[in-house]
Amino acid sequence: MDPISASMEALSLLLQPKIILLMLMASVFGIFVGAMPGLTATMAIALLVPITFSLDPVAAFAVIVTSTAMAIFAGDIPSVLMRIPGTPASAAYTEEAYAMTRKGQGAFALGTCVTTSVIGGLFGTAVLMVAAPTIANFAVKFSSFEYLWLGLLGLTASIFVAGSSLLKSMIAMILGLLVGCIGIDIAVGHPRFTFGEKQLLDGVNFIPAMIGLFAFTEVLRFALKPNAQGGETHRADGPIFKGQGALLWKYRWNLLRGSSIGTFIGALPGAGADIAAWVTYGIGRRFSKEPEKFGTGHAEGLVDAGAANNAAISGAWIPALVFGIPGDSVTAIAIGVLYMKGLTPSPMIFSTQAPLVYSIFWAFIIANLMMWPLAWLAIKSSGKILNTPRNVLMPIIFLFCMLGAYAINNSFFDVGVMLVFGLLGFILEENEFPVAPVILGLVLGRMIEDHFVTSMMKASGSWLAFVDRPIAATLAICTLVIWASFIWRGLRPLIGKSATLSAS
Amino acid sequence: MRINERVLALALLGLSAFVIWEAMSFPKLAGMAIGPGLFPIVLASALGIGAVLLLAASWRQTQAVAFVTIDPEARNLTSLMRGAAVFASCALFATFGQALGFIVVGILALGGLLLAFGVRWKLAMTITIILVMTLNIFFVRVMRIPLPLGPLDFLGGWL
Repeated sequence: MDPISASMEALSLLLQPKIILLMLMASVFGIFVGAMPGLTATMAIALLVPITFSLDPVAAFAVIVTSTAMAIFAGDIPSVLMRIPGTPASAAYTEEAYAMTRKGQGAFALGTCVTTSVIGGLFGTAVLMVAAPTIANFAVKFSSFEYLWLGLLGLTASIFVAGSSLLKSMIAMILGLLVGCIGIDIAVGHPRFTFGEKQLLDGVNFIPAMIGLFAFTEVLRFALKPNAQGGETHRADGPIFKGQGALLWKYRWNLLRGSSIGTFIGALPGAGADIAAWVTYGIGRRFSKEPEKFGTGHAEGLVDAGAANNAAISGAWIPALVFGIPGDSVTAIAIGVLYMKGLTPSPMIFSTQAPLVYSIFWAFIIANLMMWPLAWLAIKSSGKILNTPRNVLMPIIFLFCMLGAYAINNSFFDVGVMLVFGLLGFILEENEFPVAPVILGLVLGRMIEDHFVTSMMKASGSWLAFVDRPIAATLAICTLVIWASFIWRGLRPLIGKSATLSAS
Repeated sequence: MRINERVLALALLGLSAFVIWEAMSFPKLAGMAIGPGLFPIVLASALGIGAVLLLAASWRQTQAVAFVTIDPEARNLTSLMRGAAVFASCALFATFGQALGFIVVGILALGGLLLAFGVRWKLAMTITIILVMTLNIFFVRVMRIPLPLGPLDFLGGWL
C-alpha cells in the first residue's frame, strides 16, 4: 500500500465518532493526571492499559497518544501557577515560568506553554512521519560512549538552567548524582549507601524527591513566611493567546531548535521529554542574546523547552515502532500494548501495518490540535480553583503531594523520601543553592554511571576510546567546550584583577 | 534560615570524606580497577573540591556572619508552629499511613494542617472530610490505586 492511500485509510479509521469521543475522554484524563503534582504521563498511560484491552488497536493507540500529549502539557499548569511541576518534563522551566507569574504574566506564560507544546508536538509528528526509519537507524548507532557524553552534556545543561552561582549549581548537581548512587550497584550487585534499609535497594525514586524539592519547600516556606512572595498561588487572569504570535516570531529559531532537538532526544532510547526540556532550556540560555534575563521570568526559555518536551513524545515513537526499543517510559508501555495487539515493532511495520502506523501519526496531529481549546478550558478552570485562600489551598496541595508520592509505588516510604528531600530543598534554597540540578543529577546519575562503567570496561584503560567514534567525538567536543567556558568564566575575574594590579 | 557558608562548606567536606571512606570498602570487579565504588569516589572528590572552593570564597568575606540566621518573619511562635505542623503532618502520613489507613491519616494530616494555618474548625473539618473521602473513592475506584483502609478495613466494600 502506498503511503498516501495508507494515510487516508488511517484518517478514515480515526475519524469515527467513538474514537473522537475516546480521545476527548483521554484528553480530560491526561490533563487531570498531568496537572496533579506527582502523577506523571507514564502513570496515566499505565492506568489506561487495562482499558486498551477492550479497544481495537487504532482506538488504543489514539487514547495513549492523546493522554500523553495532554499530560505533558498539563504539567505546566501547576508549574506556572504554583511553582510545582505537574510532571518531570516541566521541571526544567518551572522557576522561569513561575517568575513570569509573579510578574503578572501567568496567563501569557501558560499561553506560551500551550502554543509551543502544540507546535513542538506537530513538528515532532512531521519528523516521525517523514524520517522515522532514518532517525531510528542513527539512534541505534549510539553506544555507551555516546550515551555517556550525552548524559554529561545534559548535566552541563542543568548548570546553565540553574542561573545562580556556578559553584553552588555544581555542588547541587553533585548532590543529586550522589543520591543517584544509592541502591544496588549494577556491575556486581553490591548495595551502596542503603544502611540496611531494604526500601533503598532500588535507589531513590526521583518523583517523590522532586515533589519534596519543589512542593514541600513551597508549603514549608508559606508556613514559615506567609507574607513572602514564594508560596503564592496565582490565577491565570488575562488573555492567554494574545501576543503569542509576536513572541513566537521573535523566537522562531528557538522554536525550531527546541522542536528539532526535542525530537532527536526523544528518539534516543531512554531519553524522554524531561531530558529534552533540560537540554534545550540550557542551550537556549547558552545561545541567548539576553542570558542575564533567564531565571527572572523570561519567555525565551519556555519557547525552547516547551516545544522540546512535546516534540520528544513523538520522537520517542521512532525507535519504538521501528526496533521495539522504547524512546521513553511511555513508549515502553506502548510497545507492550503493540505486542498485546499481536503487532511486532520492526522496520516492516511501515508496510505490513501501514494504516495502523499512520493512524498513530494522525492521532498525534489531532491530539495536538485538540490541545488548544482543551488547554484554554483547563487553564481557565485552574484559575477558579486557585482563587481559594492560600491558607486553605496550601494544605490541600500538600495532601495531593503526599498522595502523589505514595501512589508512585504504593509506598509510604516514598512519602518519607519526599519529607527528607523537602527539608534538603528548603536548606539549599535558603542558602541560594538551586534545586533543579539536584533533580537532573538524580535522573541522569544512574544512566551516566552505567555507561561510564560499561565504557571503562570496553576501553580497557584507553581514554582515546571515549572519543574514538565520530558521534562520541562530536558530543565530547561540545561538552568540553562548555566546560572550558565555565573555567574561563571562573578564571576571568582573577586574570582581570592581576592585570589591573600589574598596570597600576 | 541562612547557614554560615563556612559551616556549609565544612559539612559538604565531611560528606565528601564520608562517601569516599564508605565507597573504599565496596568490592571491585574481578581483575579490574573499577567497581561499585569508582563512580561515588569520583563524585565525592568533585564535591570535596567544590566544598574547598566554597570555603575559600567564604573566607574572602570580611563581614562576621552568624552560625545560623533565621528570617525575622519566621521567628515568631505562630510561624514556627505552622512549620512544625507541616513536618508533623508529613511524618504522620509516612509513619502511620499503612497502619491507620488513608482516610484516618488523611483526616488527621489535612485537618491538623488546616487548623494550624488558621482555618476555622467547621470549615476545616468540612473540607477535610469531603476531600479525603472523594480522593479515596477516586484513587481506589477510578485510578485503581489501592489505598490502605487500616481500622476501616471492614468498610472495604463501600469505600
